[in-house]
Amino acid sequence: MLGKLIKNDLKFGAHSVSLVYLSALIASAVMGISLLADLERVKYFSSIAFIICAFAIVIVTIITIIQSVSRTMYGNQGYLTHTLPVKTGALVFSKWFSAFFWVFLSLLFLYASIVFMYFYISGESAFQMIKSILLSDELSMLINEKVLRDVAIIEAVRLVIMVGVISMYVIFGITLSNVRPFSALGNIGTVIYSFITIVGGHYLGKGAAKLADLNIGVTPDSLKLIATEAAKDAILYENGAIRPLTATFTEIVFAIILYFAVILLIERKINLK
Amino acid sequence: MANDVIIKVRNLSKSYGKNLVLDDISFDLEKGKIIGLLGPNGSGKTTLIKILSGLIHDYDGIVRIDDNPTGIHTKAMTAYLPEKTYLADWFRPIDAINYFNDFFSDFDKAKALEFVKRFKLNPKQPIKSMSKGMQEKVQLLLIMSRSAKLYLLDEPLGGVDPAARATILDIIMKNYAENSTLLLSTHMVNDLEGSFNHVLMLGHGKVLVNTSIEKIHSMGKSVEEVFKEVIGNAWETD
Repeated sequence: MLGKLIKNDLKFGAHSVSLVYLSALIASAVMGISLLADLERVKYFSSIAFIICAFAIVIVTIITIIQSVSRTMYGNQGYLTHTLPVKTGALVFSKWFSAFFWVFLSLLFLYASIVFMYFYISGESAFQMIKSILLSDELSMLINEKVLRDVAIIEAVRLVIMVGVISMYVIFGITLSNVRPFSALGNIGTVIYSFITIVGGHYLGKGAAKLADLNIGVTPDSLKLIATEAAKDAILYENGAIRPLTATFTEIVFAIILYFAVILLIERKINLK
Repeated sequence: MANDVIIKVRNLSKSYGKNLVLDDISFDLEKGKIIGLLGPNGSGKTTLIKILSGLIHDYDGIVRIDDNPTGIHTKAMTAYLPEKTYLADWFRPIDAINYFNDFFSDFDKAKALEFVKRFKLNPKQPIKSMSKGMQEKVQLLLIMSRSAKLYLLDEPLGGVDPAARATILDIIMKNYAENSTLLLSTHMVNDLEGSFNHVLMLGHGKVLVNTSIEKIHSMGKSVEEVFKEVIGNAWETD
């Protein structure tokens, strides 16, 4: 059943964001034409339109996904969602996964657009750029090529995790705004509660890092779990890099707690209007 | 006989804030009946149906459907038709049919497609471009294509014109699964009197009448007369 829920929720999401992606496709087509025609003015305007489109995709995706979750969980469509013979946990997980997927896709599109625009405007090939970064004497003295690659992978994983974590924060915010007495604020409540949860999660992570500062030490030879200042110094001495771990881990735990809180609220407190 | 009971309610109370909608009600409803849930607006009919369908959880008391507390098992055996349109506006009848087919093992897709033809609906027309009557037909065909043990229909005739009412009623009566129970809420007592074999009347959050049509008729009265009598009394005592 979970697979069917996810399939249908992705379909709902696709329907909500399809218009945004269609506009991006049109902007891309205009860019492609300008590239072929080699028209500077068209190239300039289509580049601006493309970047605006990429940012708009992220913002509009977030807004439409919030609306979609609200409608299908707590609006009229909730009458169907909550009478399906599936566990509440599966319902919440499916909504979370769909939100995560679409927001992540929009961010991926944004990053890809920025990188693409850089090469499009500068005329430099991606291969040349990466090669010059990696082979730069100055940089290679500071950070090893392998360390740089591992840090990039760690940061990419952290980004994926944080998109997932924030998606759950927002689902909690939407849910809370449908529970009395919090529902008094209406749709604005969704924004306020989501914002408070995101900020709260961030500071919870920071607070936890002060109590137990766990990090990943990246060296040319290995990845290490480090917890002391001496260990950090040793990593830096080896031309390695340090990435924080506690805050991310704490936010994952916080998001999991909120997942169960959402289930509890749906099963105990939510009354569909 | 406990085995014959499809809905068992004990000391059920539900309030919205300070507004008590259901006030310590208890009743049993037997399997295989067509039950009219009657009462004026605000008498708690929709709230009771929502509780039975598993949409409301924060109530006091005990609710059992076929001996099960409301949850996945009862949702699988219950077909619920709300007053509102609960389909996404971009859904087309074919999308809604596939959706139901995905989740309800008792859903008969061929029967649903047959309904689409019978109702002269375009399977690829988005719900949002349909009239209210057409939208209700789509929801009705989805519900009536299930072989549920219990059908919970909340004011299915509420928003339709008198001509369509007879058709909808006919579809409901001819298509609900054999041996299943149909609980149909309405305040149009007159239109449905001949269809019920049992009535449950609510007023001011209380069960005012829970009896068979036979008993009502044996008293030489019609359902409408009893309805007016008890509901009138309930209003007066208010």
